[in-house]
Amino acid sequence: MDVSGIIASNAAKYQAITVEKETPLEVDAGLLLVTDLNSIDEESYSANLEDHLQALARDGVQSLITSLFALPTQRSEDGPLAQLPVPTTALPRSKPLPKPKPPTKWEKFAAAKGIQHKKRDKREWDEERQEWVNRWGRDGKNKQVEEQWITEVPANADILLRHSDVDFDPRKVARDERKARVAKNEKQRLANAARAQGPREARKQEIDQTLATTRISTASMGKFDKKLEGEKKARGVKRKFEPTERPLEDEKNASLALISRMDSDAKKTRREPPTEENVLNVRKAVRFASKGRGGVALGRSAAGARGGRGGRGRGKR
Amino acid sequence: MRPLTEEESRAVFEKLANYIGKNLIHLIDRPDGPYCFRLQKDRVYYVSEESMRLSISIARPNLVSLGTCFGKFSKSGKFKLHITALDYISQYAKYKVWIKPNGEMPFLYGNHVLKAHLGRITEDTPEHQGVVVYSMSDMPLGFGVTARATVDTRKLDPTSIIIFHQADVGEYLRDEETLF
Amino acid sequence: MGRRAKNKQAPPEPLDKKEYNSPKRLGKRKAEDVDDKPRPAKKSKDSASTRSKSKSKPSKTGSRVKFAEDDANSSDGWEDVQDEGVIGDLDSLLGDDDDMLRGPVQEFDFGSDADEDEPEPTPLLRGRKSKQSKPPAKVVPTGSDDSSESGSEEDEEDRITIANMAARSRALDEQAAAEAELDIAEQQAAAAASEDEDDDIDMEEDANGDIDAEPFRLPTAAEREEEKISVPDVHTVQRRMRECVRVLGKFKRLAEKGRSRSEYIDQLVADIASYYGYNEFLAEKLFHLFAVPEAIEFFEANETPRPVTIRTNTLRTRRRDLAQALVNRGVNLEPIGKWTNVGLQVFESSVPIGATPEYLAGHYMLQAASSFLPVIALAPQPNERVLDMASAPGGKSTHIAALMQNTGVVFANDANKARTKSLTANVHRLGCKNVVVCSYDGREFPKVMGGFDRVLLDAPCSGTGVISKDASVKINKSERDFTLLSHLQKQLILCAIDSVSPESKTGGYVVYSTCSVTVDENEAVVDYALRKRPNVKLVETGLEFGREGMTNFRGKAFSPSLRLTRRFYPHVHNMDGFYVAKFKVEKRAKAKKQEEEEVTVEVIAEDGTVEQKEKQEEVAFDSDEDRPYLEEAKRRRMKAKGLRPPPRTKAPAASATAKASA
Repeated sequence: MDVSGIIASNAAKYQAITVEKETPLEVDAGLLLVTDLNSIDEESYSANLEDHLQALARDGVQSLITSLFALPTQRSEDGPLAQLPVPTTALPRSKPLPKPKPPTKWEKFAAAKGIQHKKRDKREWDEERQEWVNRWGRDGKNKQVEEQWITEVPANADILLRHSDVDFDPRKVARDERKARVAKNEKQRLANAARAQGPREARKQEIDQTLATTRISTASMGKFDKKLEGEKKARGVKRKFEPTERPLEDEKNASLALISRMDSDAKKTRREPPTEENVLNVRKAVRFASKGRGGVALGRSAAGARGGRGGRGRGKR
Repeated sequence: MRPLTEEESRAVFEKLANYIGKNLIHLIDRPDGPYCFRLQKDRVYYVSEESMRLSISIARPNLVSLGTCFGKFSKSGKFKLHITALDYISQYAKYKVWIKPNGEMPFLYGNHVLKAHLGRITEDTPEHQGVVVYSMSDMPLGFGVTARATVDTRKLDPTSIIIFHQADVGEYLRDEETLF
Repeated sequence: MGRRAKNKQAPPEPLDKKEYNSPKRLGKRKAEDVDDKPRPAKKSKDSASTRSKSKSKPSKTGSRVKFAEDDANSSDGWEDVQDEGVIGDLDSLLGDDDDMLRGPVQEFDFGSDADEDEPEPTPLLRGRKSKQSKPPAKVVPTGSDDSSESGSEEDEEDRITIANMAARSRALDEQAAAEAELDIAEQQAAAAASEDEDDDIDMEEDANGDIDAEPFRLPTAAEREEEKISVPDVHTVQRRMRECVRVLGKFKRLAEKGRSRSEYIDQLVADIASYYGYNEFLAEKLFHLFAVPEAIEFFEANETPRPVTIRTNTLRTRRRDLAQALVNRGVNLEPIGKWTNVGLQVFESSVPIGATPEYLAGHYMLQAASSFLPVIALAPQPNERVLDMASAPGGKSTHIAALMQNTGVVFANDANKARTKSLTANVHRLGCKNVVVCSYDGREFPKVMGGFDRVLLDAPCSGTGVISKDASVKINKSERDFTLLSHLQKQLILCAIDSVSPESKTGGYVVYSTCSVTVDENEAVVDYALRKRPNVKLVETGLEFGREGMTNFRGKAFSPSLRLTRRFYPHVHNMDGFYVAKFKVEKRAKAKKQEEEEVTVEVIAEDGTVEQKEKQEEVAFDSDEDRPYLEEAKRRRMKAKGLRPPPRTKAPAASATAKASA
């Protein structure tokens, strides 16, 4: 049987699997990356860009796949898996660099004076224990005095204590000193932050806070107050809803109560005299005739003037 | 998904009461198991407790619909009944209108019901009353509001409007995009 | 409205009246089976068909088995193809339904015999080129003639008027007798034809007159290359295809010297691709699913639209009432078949079927017959929790809700948010109150929610079963699409299985279905799931027709239980190409225990008996040895409570006394 025809037709479908280039392609199998350093062939580039690009891409992918097949493989359920080597190309970081922090007061001062900043290590060497310990934090060195099982009371202890009637407690003194340092540090940090923000921002924040407070400082929590043009919605005011999942019995009862209330409302409105028959709106007429003082006042004045007939009677006619 | 606030409940109940009146209680107090109203993305759904509790697991952006949609709240806080509520409304409707076969299609295309197309109407229907529109074969087609009381209809000429169109089942095709 | 109608189904194609009345009414067999004896006569006539008949008839398990044998035994593979055709023919004659076989493409009939459990999926190869172009008429075998409940008696002539329905049913007997005669004549003709067929095809070809005496010659590779450049002549291609099919049928006898089988197949596939407008990849893929002549039937069937079918919404109405209402509107319809009691097939309609008041009121849903199948297989029960993983546009979800009678909860999920709109519209239109529509990627599912009683996964697929509906599949599907799709399907099926609660009392089932016919989207996916999840097994789908799933395909062997899955083909069942598999999910613990056992056995086998001994020692407690530790623990506990433990010196003594007493 002659199969050469089939082989030929098959072979024609595929291109060679080796890629020949002036400068060999750089393959980084770890990242599945191929770099083509050859200069662009202007002729084919201008002739048909799409074909040119496709040819380039094919060559690259072909060389990548060739290199993949050269890798050691591992058996798995879904067929052999190639083990990728460690990537050799260094990739740039994907995120932008962080913005530099505004300098603190001390940093400014140190820069002006030319003081070299020495960053202190978090750990320091403990001579007694012959090991590295934390400078602060858990089992920190700064708590050493507080945690000692025995402390020497200084001779001037009573002076230090300043006429208080409790005994001198060296641990408490040490702890207070430490806490004071922490508080001072925090204060300085806040001051630095405020300085970085600028006075304007701080003032704006303050005004916003005041405005938000005054807005809800009426008897109705600001519900009926007029909104100014361009006034922003108060932020941080949360509407509160019933939880989605609560006993449905409660919900049902609330609904039924609401319906009965709506019913009684409807009855109340229905009790008002029907207006269809009367062309004249009595209430309005009374208001008009009495110049807004009400029917009683009108009746009184009418009784005074004409002896008897009131505004109401006139309206009904 | 959340329960309705009292104002929202009031808006919904008022609209429903226009069509089913006192029967509204049967929607809330059902003998066949607890049902509730839930608001999800400004739509109001009427749903059984079982479905509601299971749907809690579904994140808000992914939950499209549950149970039966009754309608939607507009941005200004008004409630609009949708045709999807027809099932329940027709079940409990107080006032009904049957329209003749030649009036079916015009109504399903969103037109008002003319006197000429009126087949039957519940007696003593007042003016501006919500009514459910049926075909002569008792198939609910939509709902609307009466333009005149039953007693006044006799005097009218055949081309005058009897029922103002509110919603019809044709909206399933016409307004599929906006209905849900 | 245009959107919906467009998306869902083609408009009902007006069917020729002639077609219903065509004398080719092979059905209506059962009724006359008792008295008419055409078959013995035919047997004596045709020796070949007698042989095949005697083979196929007693074994109701179907000639699929025989088919497989043929594949295996004959070196050439396709030699018996013509015989197959005859078998199919006869099988169809065994049927009892009246009006299903009006079209030339014949359906199988395994309908109504109660004892006939197994369908007989036999390829039917009767169609010659000239006949194939007529559209098939009826969906799936039906046994509706005598068991009909609504409107099935209406015959073709007066389907529209229901007034004379009664008269028609009275006249049925007479007609039956007349038909019986017709059938006898018809059968004899068919027998004669099949005889001819068997004798020599060439004769018929000559009779057709569209070829001259010049013998067929397969073009060489070079010629094919040439032809690719020029536009091929349709008639040449058509003729070449016919010749290739013929040669491949009896390869040893008819093949040219020195040409291989694969050359013929290559040529045939290329011709199919150009004639029917497929890309070569897809043509080849689909071609290999079938035996050669059946493949042609398949491609031919993809050119004709499937019938329009609707599903009655049992939440709102009954089928009888719906049929009545639609008939009054001038719609010509009939029940689909015995296998469903909610389906109706629409023959022609004077009104748009997707915009009648009944449609808008949710009395029915436009739905292809094939999409009834997965829901029937799922068989949801009331008060269950069911998940439909890819549900848009909601035909299946609403069907599930209807079967559950609006109890329990149905979660209808679809990844595409835009499609959930029409899904929600359909859910509401059909009055399904227990449906929750959500829009997740199906692969997120056991994380979102699990513990379902039943899960339906109608997976996204290439749509090779619905080419008649969407012809763009012919050219826009590549190898990559199939790889991606089957990967997605594999992920989805595992998620579906994991979402099912094996503890479910009533359920614990997963149904996997696609509207595709390719093996790598169907059997391969199911087989993968079976391998990955040892706690699931395939069960009967509950569909009494359809072909069995393939257990091996082109060198791939699948689990033998894949026989329980079902395939449906356009040319066989006159519905979209479809695949349904049903899994039962069992408790995991059992499987785990087995695994553990296996592990221990392995350890022993590897390390010998010593290991085993050690294991036994480990198992036993030595209370004396443990005593000091226990004491120590006790002391520590007491210390922790602030009590004073007894002095330690006492402890060994106590243990010593204990030892002595022991």
